[in-house]
Amino acid sequence: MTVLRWIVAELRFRSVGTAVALFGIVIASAVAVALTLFEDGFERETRRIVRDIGFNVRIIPKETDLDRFYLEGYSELTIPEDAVHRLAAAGDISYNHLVATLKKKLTVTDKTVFLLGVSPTYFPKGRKKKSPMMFAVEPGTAHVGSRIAEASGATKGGTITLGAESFRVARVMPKTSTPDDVTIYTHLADAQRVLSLEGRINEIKAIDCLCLTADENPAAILERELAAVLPEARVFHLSTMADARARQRQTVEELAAVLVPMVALAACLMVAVLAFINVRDRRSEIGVLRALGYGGGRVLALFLGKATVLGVIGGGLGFALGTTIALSYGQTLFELTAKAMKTDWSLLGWSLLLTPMFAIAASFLPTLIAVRQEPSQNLGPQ
Amino acid sequence: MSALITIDHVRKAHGAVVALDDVSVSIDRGEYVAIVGPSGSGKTTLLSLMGGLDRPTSGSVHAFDQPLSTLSTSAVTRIRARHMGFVFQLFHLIPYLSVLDNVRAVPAATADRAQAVLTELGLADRLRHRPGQLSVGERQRVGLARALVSAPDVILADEPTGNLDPAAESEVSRVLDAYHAQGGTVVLVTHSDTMAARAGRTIRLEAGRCVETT
Repeated sequence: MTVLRWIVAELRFRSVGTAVALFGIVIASAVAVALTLFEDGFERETRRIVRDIGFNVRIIPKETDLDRFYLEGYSELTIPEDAVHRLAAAGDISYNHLVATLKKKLTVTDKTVFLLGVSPTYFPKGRKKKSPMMFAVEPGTAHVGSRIAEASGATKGGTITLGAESFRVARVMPKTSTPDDVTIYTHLADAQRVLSLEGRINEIKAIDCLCLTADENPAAILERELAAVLPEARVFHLSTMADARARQRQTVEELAAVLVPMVALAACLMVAVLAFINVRDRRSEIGVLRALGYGGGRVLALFLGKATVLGVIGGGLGFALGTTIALSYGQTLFELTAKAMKTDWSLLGWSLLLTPMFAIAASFLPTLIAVRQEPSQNLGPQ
Repeated sequence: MSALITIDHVRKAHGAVVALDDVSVSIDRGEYVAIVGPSGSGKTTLLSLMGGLDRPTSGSVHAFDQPLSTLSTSAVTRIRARHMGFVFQLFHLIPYLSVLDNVRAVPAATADRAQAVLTELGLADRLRHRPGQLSVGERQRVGLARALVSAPDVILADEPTGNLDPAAESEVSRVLDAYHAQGGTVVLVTHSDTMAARAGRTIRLEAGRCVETT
């Protein structure tokens, strides 16, 4: 008789026991799958939230008059636009999401407003590209602040004149009760042309790298790195914003660091207990097989084979259950990134691989102990 | 006759409890031996040592010219598979296998041989049944078929009729007698005087000691 036939016969005969064991393995696997998806979703949601907090690093010309900078909100001085490319090319730096800007005051229909030209987002060399921190501005278009729109009558799809040029209004920005309400966003090149400052910028916005550890001084590191690449610039680290961002990320990481091992341990114990009970209940069978002349290898094959079969089935069903739970509740939990909650098919492979391995590992020791005992000990009292 | 199994000054203790103390017996080829004695006297322990199902605390056990008490577990397993058949009081059939598969489960058994032995024991119409669907007497006949299917040199039977009614006991006796008549060796642990009376020799144990051999 083949080992598989024995295993199938045993599973069918002990259908209730099989169902209970399978249920345990499915739950363990499902929890692991769901938790992984939830953790991914949580991290994605966190990334989105911290992204919305905004840039927390400002790089401006070194000789900027800080009193005026704080009063006006931008530097009167400019540096070459090439600075942003040099910074991005530096690669191994603690900056990310680099956006070059040129901000100046401009009069539009007798009203003084900010004109803010923004470049596309640049990522340091070798760094993974992520979704931009801010909206993209197409050349020839303008995103108009709410108070300016009210004063000038600009509407989406219409035109607005900046200096000597007309721009299509891509949108009227919602009221924010911030300087954005009196700001017009254009593409960097458009702003440079309107302000006659071709090739110049007066700020690079960025965010700092979360790779910095708690015992490091981010501002000092950022300054040191900047001095090496852009000696003509200085950096401001908006620490409150950065701290909020770091804290949010840290909370997620700490939660995952506690929750994942706990759930893994609980799942481990559940499968181990089920394996132990299975071996205990079948000790006399082990004794009989040994008495009939079967070696320990055959007995191990029977028991570990069963663990493998249950592990594969449980892993597959657990993946389906865990994914269903995660997709059902995840889309409610993570509203900002609900659409990103999807089936992760790589988890099916892991589930089909790890669950049987786990079941085998849990079954191995009690089976080995039973096999190594003298058959008379397993046959019990006659 | 040559000794198939030799027990020499064997002591077996389970912690503080001494199950056998300085027991020496031998079983010759073709013998029919009954081991008798009160409960707890060490009968099953002695049978287990003879079959290599356990190891002595001290003393030696030889079977088929091999020192069972010092051989590796796998070597003892091979000797059991090649030379010995076991019958248990509680049958110890594998509950999820059919009658036929229980007998085929013996490593040396073939399907044809298993079916032939079961048919000889009157179980031809029970081949596809599971042990739980059989009467107690039928279960023990399956146990006997499993012991006989590999044509062993010796059958070690531990209280094979302990749970059976007189008719079933008679059937078990008939099967063991037939096996013995064909030259097989039988070692039987029993409380039954009727069964013991069929044996050619009786070993009596009391409190772990061999007190009489007749």
